[in-house]
Amino acid sequence: MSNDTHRDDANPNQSASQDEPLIEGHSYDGIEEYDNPMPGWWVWLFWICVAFAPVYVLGMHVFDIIPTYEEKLASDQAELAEIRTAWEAQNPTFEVSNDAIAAFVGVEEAIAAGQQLYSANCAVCHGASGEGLIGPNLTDAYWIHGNENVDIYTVITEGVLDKGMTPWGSILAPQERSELVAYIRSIEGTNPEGAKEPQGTLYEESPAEDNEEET
Amino acid sequence: METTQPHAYRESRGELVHFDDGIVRLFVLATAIWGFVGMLVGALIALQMPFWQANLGPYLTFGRLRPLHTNAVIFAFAGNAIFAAVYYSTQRLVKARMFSDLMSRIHFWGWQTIIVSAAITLPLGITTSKEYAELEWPIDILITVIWVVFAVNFFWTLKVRREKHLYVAIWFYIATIVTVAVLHIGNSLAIPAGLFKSYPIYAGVQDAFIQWWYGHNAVAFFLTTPFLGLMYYFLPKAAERPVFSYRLSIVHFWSLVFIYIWAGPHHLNYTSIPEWAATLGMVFSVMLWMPSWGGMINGLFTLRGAWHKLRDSVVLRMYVIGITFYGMSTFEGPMLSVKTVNALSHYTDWTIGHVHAGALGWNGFMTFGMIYWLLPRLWKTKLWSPRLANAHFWIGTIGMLLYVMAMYSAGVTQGLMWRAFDEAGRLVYPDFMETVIQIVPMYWVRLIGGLMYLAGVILMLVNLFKTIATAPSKLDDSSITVS
Ligand code: HEC
Ligand code: HEM
Ligand code: HEM
Repeated sequence: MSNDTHRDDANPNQSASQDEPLIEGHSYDGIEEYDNPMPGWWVWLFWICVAFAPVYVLGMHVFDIIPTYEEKLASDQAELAEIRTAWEAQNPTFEVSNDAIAAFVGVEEAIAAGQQLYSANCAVCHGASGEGLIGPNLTDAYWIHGNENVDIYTVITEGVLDKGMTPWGSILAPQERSELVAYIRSIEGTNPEGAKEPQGTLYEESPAEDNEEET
Repeated sequence: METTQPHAYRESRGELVHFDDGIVRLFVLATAIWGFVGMLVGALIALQMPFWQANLGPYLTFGRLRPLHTNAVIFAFAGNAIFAAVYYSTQRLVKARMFSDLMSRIHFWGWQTIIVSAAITLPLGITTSKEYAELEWPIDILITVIWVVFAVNFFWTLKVRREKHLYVAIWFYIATIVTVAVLHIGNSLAIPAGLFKSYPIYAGVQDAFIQWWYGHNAVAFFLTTPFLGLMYYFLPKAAERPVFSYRLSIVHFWSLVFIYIWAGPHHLNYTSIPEWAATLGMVFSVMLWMPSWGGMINGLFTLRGAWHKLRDSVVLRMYVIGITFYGMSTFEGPMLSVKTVNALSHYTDWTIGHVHAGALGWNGFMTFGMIYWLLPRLWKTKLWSPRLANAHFWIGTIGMLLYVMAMYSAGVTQGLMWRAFDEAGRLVYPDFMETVIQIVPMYWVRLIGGLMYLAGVILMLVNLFKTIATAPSKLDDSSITVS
C-alpha cells in the first residue's frame, strides 16, 4: 500500500493507449508523462481567441467599427427617445390641468393605488405617512412649490434635483402620478406623529377641501 | 546527476529520506475544520439575505460576516488545502524532506494566527474595505512574514532536491508562491493611521486598478494555479495513469500565467476606468479560455483507460466533478468578461453563481478528493467509512448544483428586470425592491443547496476524526531510499 511501490502496480502497458510514447526519464514519485501532441482543436481555438484580440482592439479603438461605451450609450438613448416620441404621438397626451387631475382626487381606487406607489417610491424620503423626513411634510398646509393639483403633479414629474427630489416623469406614468396626487390630497391635515416642521408658504385653503365642500 | 551512476554504485550509496508527514497532517486537519467554519458562515449569510432577522447585533450582520466568509473559505480552507498539497507532494516529487521542520511549523501556526485575527477583526468592523484584502496592516505584515518563511522553506527544499527535473506540479507551486507575494505586497501598500486603520497609497481609479489586478489574480494564483499543481500530482496518483501530454502542460502553464496577469480590468467593465483598459481586460480574458482548458484536458484525458476506476473510487469521482466545474467556470469567465454580457451580469447574482461554480466545484471537490486520498496514507489506516465518503460526494454535488442554478436564474432574472422598458419607453420595474423580492425564492434554494454542501463537509469531518481514531498510536514518517 505504500506510495513508493506505486510505480510497479501502475503497469502502463496495460493501458488502452499502449502505443503512446512516454517521456523518457520523467518519473516523479511514480508519475510518468506521455509525449502526446496537443489536441488540434485546442490549438486552433487558442489561435482563434488570440486572433480575436487585435480584431476587437483595432475595431474599437482604431477603425471605430465596434461602438465604445459612450457611442453605445448615445445610440441607446437615442433609441429610447424615439420610442418615447412614437408612443406619445400614438397616445393622446395626458392633459395636465387641475380638472384632469381632480378626476382622481377623492376616488377610492386612485387613492389606494397612490398609496401603494407612495410606500414603494416616496416613503423613504417623505415618511411612511407623509410626515416628512429628508423631503418635506406632505400633510401640512405649507407648500414649497404650490398647493394646486398641477403644482404637486409638476413637482413629482420634474423633481427638484438640487434638493434631492427625484424626477419621476420617465419612471411613473401620468396616471400613476395623478394617483399619487390623489393620495397626497387624502392625507392632508392628518397631522401624523413625528411631523416635520413646516416648509414653504402657508396655504389657508386646500383645493381638495373645496372639492369636498362642492360634492 | 545520480541517474548516470552505475546501478550497483547507486545501491551501495542508498540513502534513506524521511518525509515530514506531520506537517501535512496538521494542514489537513486545519483545512477540514476551517472549511466547516467558513461554510457555516456562508450558510448564515445565505440565510440573512432572504431572512433579514438573522442579522444579529452589529457584529453578526451580513456586511461584517460576508468578508469573514470569503476570507475563511479562501485563505483558511483553500489556503490550508494548498499547503497540505504542497508539503505532501513537493517532498515526494523532489525526493527531499522539507528544508526546515521549524519553518514548516512557523508557517503552520503563523497562518492559523492570521486566520484567527481575521475572525476577530472582521466582525469588529476593522477592515480596509478592499475585497479579499480586508485585513488591516498589522495582519498584512504578518502575512508577508509568514509567506516569506514558506517561500524560503520551499525554495531551499528545491535547492537540495534529488530529482533533476521539476515536475509540472512544482512549476505551478512556484508560480503561486512568487505571484501571491507580489500581489499581496503590491495591493496592501498603505500608510497606517493608527493600529487598526490605514489609507492605501493609491487613490481613485489607480486604487481600483490595483485592487482588481490583485483580486483577479488572487483567483488566478490562489484558487487556480495551486489547485492545478494539486491536480497534476494527486490525479495521476489516484488514477495510476501517466499524465496525458507533457507538451500541453508546458504550453498551458506558460500561457496561463502570462495571460492571467492582464485580465484584471474585466472586474471594472462599465466603470470610470478608461475604456482601453476594459478592452485589454476583456481580450486577455478571452485568450485565457484555452490555457485554462489545457489544464482541464490534461486532467480529464489522463483518465483515459481508467474511467472504470471511477466506480470504486470516490476520490477520482470527486476529481472528475472538480475538473469539470473548472472547465465550466473558465468557459463562463471569458464569456462574462465580454462587455455586452457583463452589462447584463454585473452586479447580479450571476457573478455569485460563477464564483461558487469555481469555489464549490473546483476548489472544494479537488480538496475533498485530496483529503480522502491522503487520510489512509497519512494516518496509516483504512478510511473509516467509504460509504460516508460516497454520501458526501452525492450530497455535495446536488447541493452545489442547487446553489449555482439558483444563482444563475436569480442573476439573469434580476439583470433582465433592471433593463426592461415598456412600449412607452419607461422602466417596467422602476422600484428596485420589486427586483429583489422577485429573487427571494432563489435565495431560499441557494440556502438549501449551501446547507447540503455543508452537510457533506460535516460527513467528511466525521469520517476524518473516526479514521484518525483508528490510526496507530505512533505515526512514523514515510520514507524512501534514494541513491
Ligand atoms: C430621495 C428623496 C425623495 C424621494 C424618493 C421623493 N422625494 Fe419628494 N421631495 C424630496 C425633497 C428633498 C423635496 C424638497 C424639494 C425642495 O426643497 O424644493 C421633495 C419635495 C416634494 C414635493 C413638494 C413639496 C412641497 O412642499 O412643495 C412633493 C409633492 C413630493 N416631494 C412628492 C414626492 C412623491 C409623490 C414621491 C414618490 C413618487 C417623492 N416625493 C419621492 C425628496 C424625495
Ligand atoms: C456552504 C457553502 C457556501 C455557502 C452557503 C456560501 C454562501 C455565500 C454567500 C451567501 C455569499 C454572498 C453573496 C452575495 O453577496 O450576494 C458568498 C460569497 C462568496 N463566497 Fe461563498 N458560500 C459557500 C462556500 C464557499 C466556498 C467553499 C468558497 C471558496 C473557496 C466561497 C467563496 C466565496 C466568495 C469568493 C464570495 C464573494 C463573491 C463576490 O464578491 O462576488 N464560498 N458565499
Ligand atoms: C478563464 C478564467 C476566468 C475568467 C476569464 C473569469 C472572469 C470573471 C469575470 C468577468 C467576473 C465578473 C466580474 C464582474 O462582473 O464583477 C468574474 C468574477 C469572479 N470570478 Fe472569475 N473568471 C475565471 C475563472 C474563475 C475561477 C476558476 C474562479 C474560482 C475558483 C473564479 C472566481 C471568481 C470570483 C471570486 C469572482 C468575483 C469577484 C468579485 O466581484 O468579488 N473565476 N470572473
